[in-house]
Amino acid sequence: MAEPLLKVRNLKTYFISKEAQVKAVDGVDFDVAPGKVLGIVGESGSGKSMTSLSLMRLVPGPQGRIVEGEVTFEGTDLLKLTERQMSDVRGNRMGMIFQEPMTALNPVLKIGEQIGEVLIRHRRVSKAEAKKQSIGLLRSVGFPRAEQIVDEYPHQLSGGMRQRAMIAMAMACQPKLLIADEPTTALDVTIQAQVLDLMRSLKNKNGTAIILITHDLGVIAEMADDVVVMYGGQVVESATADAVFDDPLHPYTTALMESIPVIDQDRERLASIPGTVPSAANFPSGCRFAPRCAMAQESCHQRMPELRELKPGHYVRCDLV
Amino acid sequence: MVSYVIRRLLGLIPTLFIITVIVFSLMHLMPGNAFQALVGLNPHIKDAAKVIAQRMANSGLNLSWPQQYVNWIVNLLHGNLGTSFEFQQPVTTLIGTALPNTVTLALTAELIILIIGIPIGVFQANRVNKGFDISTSLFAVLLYSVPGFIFALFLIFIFSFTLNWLPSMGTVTAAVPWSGDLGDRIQHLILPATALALPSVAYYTRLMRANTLQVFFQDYVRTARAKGLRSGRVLFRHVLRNAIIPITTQFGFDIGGLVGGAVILEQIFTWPGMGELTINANLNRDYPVILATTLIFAVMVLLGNLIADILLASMDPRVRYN
Amino acid sequence: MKRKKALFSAAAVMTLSTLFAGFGGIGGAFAATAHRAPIVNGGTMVQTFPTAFGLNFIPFLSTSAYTAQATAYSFDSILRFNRKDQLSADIVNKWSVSPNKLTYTFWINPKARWSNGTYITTADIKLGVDWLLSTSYNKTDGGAYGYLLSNVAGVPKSGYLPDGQTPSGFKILGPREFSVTLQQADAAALPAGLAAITPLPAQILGKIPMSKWKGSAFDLHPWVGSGPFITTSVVPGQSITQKANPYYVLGRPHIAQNVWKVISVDVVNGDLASGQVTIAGIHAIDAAQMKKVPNLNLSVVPTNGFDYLGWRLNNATFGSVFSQVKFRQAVEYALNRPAMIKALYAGYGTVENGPLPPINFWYNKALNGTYAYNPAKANALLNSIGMKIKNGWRTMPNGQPFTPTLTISSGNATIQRQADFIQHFLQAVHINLKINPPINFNTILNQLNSDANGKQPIQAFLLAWSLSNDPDPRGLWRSTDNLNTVTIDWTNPKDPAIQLNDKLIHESHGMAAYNINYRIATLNKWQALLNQQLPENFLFDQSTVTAYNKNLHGVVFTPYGNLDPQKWWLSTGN
Repeated sequence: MAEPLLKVRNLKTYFISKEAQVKAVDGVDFDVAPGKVLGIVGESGSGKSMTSLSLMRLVPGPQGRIVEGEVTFEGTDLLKLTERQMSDVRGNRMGMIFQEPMTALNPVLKIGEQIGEVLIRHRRVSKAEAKKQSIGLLRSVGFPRAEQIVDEYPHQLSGGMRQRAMIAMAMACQPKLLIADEPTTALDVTIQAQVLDLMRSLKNKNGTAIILITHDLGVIAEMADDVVVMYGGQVVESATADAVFDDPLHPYTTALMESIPVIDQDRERLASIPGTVPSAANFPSGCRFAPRCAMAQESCHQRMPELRELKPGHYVRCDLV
Repeated sequence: MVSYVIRRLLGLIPTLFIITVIVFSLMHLMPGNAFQALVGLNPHIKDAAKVIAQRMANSGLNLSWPQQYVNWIVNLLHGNLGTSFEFQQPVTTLIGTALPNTVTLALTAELIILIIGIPIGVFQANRVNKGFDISTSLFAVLLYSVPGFIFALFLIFIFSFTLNWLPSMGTVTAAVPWSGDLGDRIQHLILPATALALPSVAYYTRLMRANTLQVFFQDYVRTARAKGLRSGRVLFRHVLRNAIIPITTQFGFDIGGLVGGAVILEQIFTWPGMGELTINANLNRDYPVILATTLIFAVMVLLGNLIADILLASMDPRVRYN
Repeated sequence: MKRKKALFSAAAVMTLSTLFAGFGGIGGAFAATAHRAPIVNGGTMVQTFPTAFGLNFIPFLSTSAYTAQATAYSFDSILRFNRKDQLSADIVNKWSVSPNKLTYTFWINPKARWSNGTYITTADIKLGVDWLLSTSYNKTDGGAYGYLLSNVAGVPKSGYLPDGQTPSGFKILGPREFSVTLQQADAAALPAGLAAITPLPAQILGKIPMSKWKGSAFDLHPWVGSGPFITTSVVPGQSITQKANPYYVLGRPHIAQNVWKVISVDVVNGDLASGQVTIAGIHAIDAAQMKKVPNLNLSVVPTNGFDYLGWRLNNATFGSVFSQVKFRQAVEYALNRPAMIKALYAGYGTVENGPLPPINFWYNKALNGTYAYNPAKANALLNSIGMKIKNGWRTMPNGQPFTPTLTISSGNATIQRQADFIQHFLQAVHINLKINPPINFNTILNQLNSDANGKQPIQAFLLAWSLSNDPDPRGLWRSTDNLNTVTIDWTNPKDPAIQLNDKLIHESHGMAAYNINYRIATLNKWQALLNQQLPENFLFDQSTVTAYNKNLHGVVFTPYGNLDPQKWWLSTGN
């Protein structure tokens, strides 16, 4: 494996208030290889979204704080940059798209301006040039009438179109890494497929690595080269996609696999895992999955398992396998 | 847009019509009339009853109400608002003097409100629950809970009586060569406009703070930051541009309100505006002036609402003219 | 300048003390400021109006008391009242009356000039007379002062003539000499009528038809005048600026500029203290506080007017009691008026026992000390008319409950406190007086004006009269006078006291009254009659308290206003 584009080590993001300390991300490690897709999968509350925001240093303050760790991107530890240096990275070398394209786009600004301002910021182009390039970008994400779309407002677009516009915005500066946080969750199933296709083709064209955050193993199966499974703010399994799908080792991963629905079935995909994700404010003392784990034994409740490299490149946080 | 405004303006006509009927009726239900007040108990008028009857006949007050109303409407359509009983001047002349003064005062107050209220509100939201936020918020509550005329007296006491920096009355200095200069007018405007603005400043500060805080946590602000935009642009182009929308609407509504709200302050500052005119007219049963001022207040409020709607439509693309 | 009191009357009734603010005025003619420093010429003085003034400055045209006051600084009438309330020379410096008392002859002071230097002639006088009697003034413009000349020969019953027509009783005898002939001899004709004739500049107004005077450039800003200060600029609703008239007939004023500013009563005290206002009337209650302000002097003078408690004598419910003289006398004895003056006006006032205030030249001194506070006497009087006490309250003589109400106007704290005191003192003699919630002054007027049948809710009320220089009781006190009808309604033609009243009033201005001693004697009899009858309960004459800057000197404070502004002067520095 080549030198990773992004190296995350022991990342810890806590929400600290007077009453409690919430360990949303609690010592996460993973790598992203250039041009590859890393899927981060887990239920809501598993810390995957907060991990992605931590990479961009967009954890909502003042309570949320990255307390420890390293995020090395192209050889630079992002956590050591000043806010100003970090803003040069965002949108330029790292792009991000969000789950809800309706609320993630500013309702009172034209699409063209929202895309163009990235170019003006990072490429120092003129307004006119930014608009011209925005049209090109919109066309590249599949808008047939891009010239009109630049002058329209988000509420005039459909959900899928908005997400395309978001992608155009995130890809405007051809970033090395695109973080996509549940990019298709809010979309219709057919539109989902189109958006995923678009992301894939942009990846292939520009060589952009992608961190794809989702709770949908189907999406992972379709897109990801490598997979990280998160639970309770921790990585519980990480390996290549093939390894995870062919040979899931962690009981949680197995449970997730069993819950993959056929494509047009109802969306309560993970209903088959009994219980709920534990509150990050109040984790159990042992293995965090133990209370829901069918195979859990007495020792699982006592001791937190280490993340072990069980096979080459295949890491698991479970003492039973 | 233009057709929208025209349609809205036409839509005001029935409302205005109803308002005039109500005002006309209420006015005639008020006891007494102008001439009783003027000559009724003047011991030097030998035959007051005759003088009153004469004056009423001259002014058409001996006609039936419907007839008086029709006369008034016909005159109104000819741009004639009648003649003040009290001042013996055409009402249009009186309003021509008073209205610009009141509008100047109200707009200056609005300007002060926006210039002070918006930045403070934003700054508070930016440093929420920090020292500046807490102290200014307390101050804002204080301002908001005290009526404007109290401030007026305080301001006069401090800046006029004690420091002698600013004049306490009128719109211009009498009897000096620079009377009526721009500087002279601005000097006179500062205290009344500030007194009129202060309670609203507090309100706008609170409103702006709350709006800004709300917008701060919107997804699109996170998106803007994820694009690497500088914090200034995030604040001004993304946060403020949204947070200001409710403010502009409020601004429109307040135009009508401030014109009416200046009544007491105009008395205190001897600001010869609509407030003074209205109070005197009502005390003296000066019917033509009462009708005209009420009509203008109504038009102001309706126009204010229209301006609010237009501002909202122009600020928020989600609102369509239909 | 006498006219201002006349114009002032209605307004004074409306708001009493507040309006006095603008007039200052009234103070012992005697308090003329002593000064040794040499008189300085120049400077600007600032006087105040509490609310906006009217914009018609041709004499007699505006109904605004403030405008009339400013106009009185610019236009003098032919004669003036001095500090002792006696007619004295002004534009006219000599006059005589024919033996039949019908024709008055006047000579204009040869030094009398307009402010532009041209001499005042009989043509100017004639224009002033024509104006007061013109159709335009009386009919179109609704002028209220035509009555001043209604007794002049040739004036029809209607009270006015076609524009520009001179009544036959007015004759020009020369450029500086004219005469006025009356329809009937009248001792009050000169002081209460002819003295007010005001010359108007024929050189300017003579060229405009009278129908166009109102609203003309001269009306909005009269640039020529005959008074001490001539208007230089008018800012509507805010200020009138006037400069000294170098040709003023009574001497060029020392002060170079006079500014009338509209200043709210809420801030006038502060403006006085800060020196932004030179002279203004203040509430008596504030006097003690204002006395402490280092740069201010205070003047306290009685007012030529009085407050009274009126009863609707024709009231359908209780009129039978109100119209008993002994009831009204009992009320007069029951009220501790010195105590009220102390509490309401910080002691600045005098007890009033008749229709003329003690300060008035014509006041009957025999009225002094009558009706001293005496609740025992009040009770005795009430007992004597059969008003028995039942459950603590007096009943009507027929045994029915007696619960009269007092109607007062809203928005005036002093009036409301006055009412509280009256209630307190009447309750002490077992009269169950109730105070109605305050109502708008116009509503009171309306009720009074339409109470011919005594069925209006108004029973007792508090009003005030401000009197003009001449004591002529006509217009107010005769049983036929409208103002009598619409206030107390002391009009019963069968009442011998009322018959005597009308007779005495008639005698007070007839031929014999040209003898001043006869007039004094008649008016004394009339005052004694009203003192005994008390058609209304006279209360007190509240003084006018004026605060003025210590650098202002020479003001003549009198009950008739602050006189002789041409003699005032401003010292420089402090």
